[in-house]
Amino acid sequence: MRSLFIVAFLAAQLYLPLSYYMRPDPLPELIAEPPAEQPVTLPEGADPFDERFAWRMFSPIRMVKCDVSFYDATDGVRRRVPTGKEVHFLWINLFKRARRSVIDQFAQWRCPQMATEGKAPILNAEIVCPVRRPGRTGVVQVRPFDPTLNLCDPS
Amino acid sequence: MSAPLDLQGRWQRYWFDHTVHPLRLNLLRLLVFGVLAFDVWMLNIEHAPRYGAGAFNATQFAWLDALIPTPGVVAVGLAWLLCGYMALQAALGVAVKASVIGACVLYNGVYYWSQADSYQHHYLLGLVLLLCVFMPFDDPETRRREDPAPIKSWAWMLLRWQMAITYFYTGVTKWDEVWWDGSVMQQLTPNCSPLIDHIATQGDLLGVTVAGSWTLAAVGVMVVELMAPLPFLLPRGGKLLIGVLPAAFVFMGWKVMGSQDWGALVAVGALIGGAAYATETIARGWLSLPVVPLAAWALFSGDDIAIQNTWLFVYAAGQCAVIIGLGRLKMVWLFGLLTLPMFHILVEFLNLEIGWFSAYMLALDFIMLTPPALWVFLQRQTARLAGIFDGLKSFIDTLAERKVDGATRWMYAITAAICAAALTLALPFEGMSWAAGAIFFAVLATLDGGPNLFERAVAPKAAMQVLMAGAMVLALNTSTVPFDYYRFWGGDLKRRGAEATDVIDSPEARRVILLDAADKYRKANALQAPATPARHYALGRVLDQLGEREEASAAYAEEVSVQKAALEKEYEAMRKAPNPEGLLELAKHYNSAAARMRRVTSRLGGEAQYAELVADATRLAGVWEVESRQTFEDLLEAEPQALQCMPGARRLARRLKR
Repeated sequence: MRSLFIVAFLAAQLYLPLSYYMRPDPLPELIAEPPAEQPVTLPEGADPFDERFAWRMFSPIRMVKCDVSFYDATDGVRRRVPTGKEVHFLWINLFKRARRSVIDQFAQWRCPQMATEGKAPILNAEIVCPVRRPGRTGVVQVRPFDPTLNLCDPS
Repeated sequence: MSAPLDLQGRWQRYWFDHTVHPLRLNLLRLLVFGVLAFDVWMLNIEHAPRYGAGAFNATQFAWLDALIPTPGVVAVGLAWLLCGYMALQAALGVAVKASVIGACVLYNGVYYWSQADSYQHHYLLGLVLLLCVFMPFDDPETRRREDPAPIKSWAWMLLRWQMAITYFYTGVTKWDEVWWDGSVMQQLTPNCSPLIDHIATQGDLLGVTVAGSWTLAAVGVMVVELMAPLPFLLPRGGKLLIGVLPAAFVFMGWKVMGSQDWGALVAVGALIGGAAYATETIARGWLSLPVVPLAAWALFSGDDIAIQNTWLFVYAAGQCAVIIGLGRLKMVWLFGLLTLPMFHILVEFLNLEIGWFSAYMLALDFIMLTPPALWVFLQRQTARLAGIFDGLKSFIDTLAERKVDGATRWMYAITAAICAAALTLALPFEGMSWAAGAIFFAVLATLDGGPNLFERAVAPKAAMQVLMAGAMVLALNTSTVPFDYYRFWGGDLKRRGAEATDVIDSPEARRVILLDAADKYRKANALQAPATPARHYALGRVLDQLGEREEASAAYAEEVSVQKAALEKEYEAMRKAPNPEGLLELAKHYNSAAARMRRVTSRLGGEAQYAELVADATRLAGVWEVESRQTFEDLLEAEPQALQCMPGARRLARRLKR
């Protein structure tokens, strides 16, 4: 039993940080290129911004602060969602770190409140993150996901 | 024929025959849990109002969100309060096993309940607490004064692995071209930090540019972190490491770099493997010896550059010794002890605000990396020191031997429980009746019914419980934690009730939120001593939004009078002992108070019944604006580099310009 615990503990501790590096990460290629004029959108499944459980203290990614805007487009008109007046400020800070699990949970929490008669809720998030390039050569603007993605119905 | 590998036997010996000196365990318990108690009380509780604010939460794992309810302020505050109490019990040796389990469950419970706390160092602390559950803290050897026998502990070995893994991955994180150019490290370093000059000086000595010296520093940090598993895991398991470390490095390098530069990866991997091999097998320790007096000289000379140079020398010498096989590998702890704590000292030096994490890590580095001989020596000294208290001990033993009947025992237990619970009720947080109840039963369970109950007298134990509750109440009630708890809470409610949104769209719902905000601000203000800045203006704003004009103006008037008194006091203090930090604070306070006075004027202006208050506020706004400018000029005179070096100075200058 004790051996089982040791193996499970060690396996988890080795695997959890490793899983961060196993995710598709196009960032190194993106930042190696000269910066594009428009922000570059990361492909589906790539999430270099969630560094929990990976022991990435003081990493270059940790220093990134994204610009974040949520839009309610249920009525066909994009209205900015006043997130600062709806949730605690700490969640805004996590949005600014492009923490996808928090963004998804925010959508799950908010979308039912947006539903109006006969119209499916539409919530978009426009997130742009300035990711530093190596050699002190500026930044590349990166979008963690497609800004037209309806977070209320990501499928 | 070669002997069979006997993997099972090796596994058994590696994990289950591993021993630890009892004094290490005692100190681990005392320091980790002692710091934890005050950490959760002084740094965490004030943030309880974040949890479940606006009924929104995201747990650490998406699947958990569907299973558990949104956390609440009372539940989280209660969990942290009790976690601290359990931790203090564990630190002081009361009901150790149950207390360690309790503290671990409560701490990790809150952590995984919400990403409101997603600090990686809190995650690490949660893992350390989990491993502490399996530490033999209550082994009889831990209480033996003279020459206690080492205690077998697989959890201790696992903790060494945990530390090694953590440091190693933090090194892997820095295998990144953006880290290597030193810009991230430079960004982390506050303006005008002496570190900037030190790094430039090192660059000069080595003949590299300033940017180059930052690169060197950044790469140096990475290398030390990548080497960190060695002191934690050697000499035991060294052969395993010789294989595992280079392989792990090559794999991580490939994944993180994303390049196929196998030559470089294998070369660095081989270097690490060679270092591990040298460390494991062929070392002789004489080279490390001159380092100790040199380091002592550098530390006591008070010369920062000397300290840094010595550290660099130690590091370089240690590395050379390890690589060329001159350092005895049993001395590898010295490498760890001289390098790893530097990160945590640096983090404090750079003021990176990660709570008390450096204290935990420095304690863990010291306890885990120091050589066995030190602990034998310390044990002897402890035993000698403990001899001084023999009189007290014999008194306690006399008490312990006194036959106390069941009824008397219960009387002690219930009295202590009532006192501890009553003290808890003196805390001003929400839900303290629950906390008092929980502490009442915790004390009863500790004093009566526990397996260690009759080992010592009930009376000293009862007294200790009351003292612990007293320490908790004293620490919290003499701090700003209760004030911060309510002002943070009020601030969040004020923001969310300020105007209609899709989520809070009915006037009734907003009114409820604003009433709650006013309640929290009133509680915060009541906790501040008279003439101490509080949240009277914010309360006035909320009351204004609620349409309570009369009460709002009373809050504004209170703000005016409190600010007047507080600024006069601060000015007097600064006149007596001027210093740049104090001058900047005073200038900021004058400036923000003036801005608030202007807002009061604009809110109440034109209403005859408040004419006197408005006149006062208008006059004070003008006076304090002038004072703010004057104080800022005094600051620039006293500290010409203030704009570049002092956080907040530039922002204030911009405000004053406007």
